[in-house]
Order: sequence, then C-alpha cells, then structure tokens
Amino acid sequence: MKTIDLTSNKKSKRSPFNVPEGYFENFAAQMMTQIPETDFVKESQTAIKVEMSEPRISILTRIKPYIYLAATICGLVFGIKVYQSQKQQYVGKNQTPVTTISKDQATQYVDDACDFMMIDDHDVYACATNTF
Amino acid sequence: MGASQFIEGMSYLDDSLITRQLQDPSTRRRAFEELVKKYTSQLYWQIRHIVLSHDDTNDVLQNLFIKVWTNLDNFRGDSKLATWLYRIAVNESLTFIQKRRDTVTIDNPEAGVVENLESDPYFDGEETDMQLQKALQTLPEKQRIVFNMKYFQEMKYDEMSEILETSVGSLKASYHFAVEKIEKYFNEND
Repeated sequence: MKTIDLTSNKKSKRSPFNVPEGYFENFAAQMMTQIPETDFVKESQTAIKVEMSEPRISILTRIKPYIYLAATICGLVFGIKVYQSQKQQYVGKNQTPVTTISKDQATQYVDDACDFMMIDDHDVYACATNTF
Repeated sequence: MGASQFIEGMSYLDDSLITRQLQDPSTRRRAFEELVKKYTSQLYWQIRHIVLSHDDTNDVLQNLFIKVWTNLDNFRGDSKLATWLYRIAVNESLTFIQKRRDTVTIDNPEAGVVENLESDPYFDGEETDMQLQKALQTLPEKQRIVFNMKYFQEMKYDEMSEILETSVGSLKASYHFAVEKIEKYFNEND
C-alpha cells in the first residue's frame, strides 16, 4: 500500500529528480557563450550621447547642396536638349525639301504648265502686268 | 530550498551589489555571470518541478536567462532580484506547459506524466514518487505550483506571496486544498 505524509515537515524528503553530473558547475560557462561579448546597442547609445556634445557633420551632409546643384544642372541640360530635338523634328516635318533646278528645267516646267492650262504668251504677259 | 539559500559550499555576491553592477554597462556582463551562477540551481528546481523532464527544464532555464539578459533595463530594483527571477521562471514554465499542451493532445495527463518520467534518465523515483507526480497532474495549475514551492522547495509563504503576487491567506488555502486532493488521490488509488 502506497502511503504519503504531506503534513510532516520532514527534512529527509528525497527528491526523485536528479541532473547530469557537473550540470550546475558547467551551466554558467555554457550559458555565457549565448550572451553577446559586447553589448553593441549600449555602446552605440553611449557613443551617440558623447557625440551630442560636439556635433559632427558627415561628408554626405556637407556635399549634399552640391549634389542637388549638379542634379539640377543635368536636368536642365537634358530638358533643353530634348526640347531642341523635338522642335527640329516638328519643323522638318512641315518643310518641303528644297531642291535646286536649272534654268532650262524651269523654262520647260513653265511651258508644260502653260500647255496644260491652255494659255499662250499673251495671257502670261497680261497676268504679269495685271491688264486682263 | 528557499529563494535566499545558496548552493552548499559556495558564496556569491550580495543581490544589491549584483543589481548595481547589472545597471552599469561596464560591469553588466560580469554581474550577469554571477547572477547565473548564483541562481541556476534554485531556478532549475523551480522549473523542474513544473515541467518535470530535465531536457525541457534545461531549455526553459536557458530561455529564462536570455530573457533576463535582454530585459535587464526593465528591472529597476523595485522588487528583490530573486523574486523577479522566480516570477519569470514560473511564467516561462507555465508558457512552456501551455505550448506543449497545444501541440500534443493528451487525453490522460497522468498517463502522459508516467510515460515522460519513465523515459527520463534523470528521474529515479520510487513508486510513491511516481504516484505523487500523477496526483499533482490532477491539480489545477496554481495549486500545483503552490504545492511544489511549499512541499519540495520549502519556500516561505511570504516569499511565495511576492513571487506569485497572491495573498498569504490564499496561498495557504491553495496548499491546504492541494494536500487534501493528493491524499484523496492516494486513498483512491491504493
């Protein structure tokens, strides 16, 4: 029959649990391997506090205005180039290509035109002097 | 074993000194190592009597110390260092048990305990010890913790009251009910 006396304050109470040999002796060393060697967060926070007393401007902050200026100039140049190229294309599309022709060719062209319109030299003269 | 007792044959720094050193980043790591050495045994047995298996206890204990390290800034020294650590140990153990209960469905918790203890090489209890562990599984969580603290660790009600944030009267009542239920369990399972 299993009996248990839970009310007595007996010091002979034996724990049924045990641990591997040397467990408690080695635990701390094993545990500390999982803890970071240096608390980087704290160190950086301390560094920030120190820096606050003497503010330092980084290189990036210093050259920032120049970067903005260079970017603006590049943008302007690029914009002008694009505008000019677009304007040239527009003008080129609406212009008739200029070709040079000889005097004989011109005379021939006028003669052909007169024949087509059935006009003679007199009509041409009257048109030129506004007398018809 | 009470919260204020040390491992036999070893002496450790005073809690107030450890607390001060923990607050100083330059001495924090060394003080933490001292804290681990001082409280490993006490916290281990606190956790072991709740989660039972050595391997699980080892996992919970390591998680506990990592949690303590990462939350050192939250410890302002308002409560005793030992009380703070014990409170975390109880919470971590209960969280572990809850997770285990969620992942493994056990129809009969007593049978589960026997199975776990029988396969645990670090349990060498007799039949009565096994019966007591089975009886403990029938208790509500709070009663079981109170019983473990009082019966196995011989903790004072005042200390338990600080750790569990419960009145001494309520703890005495919990322990009394736990003892009654365990005795009843033994009588019924003779």
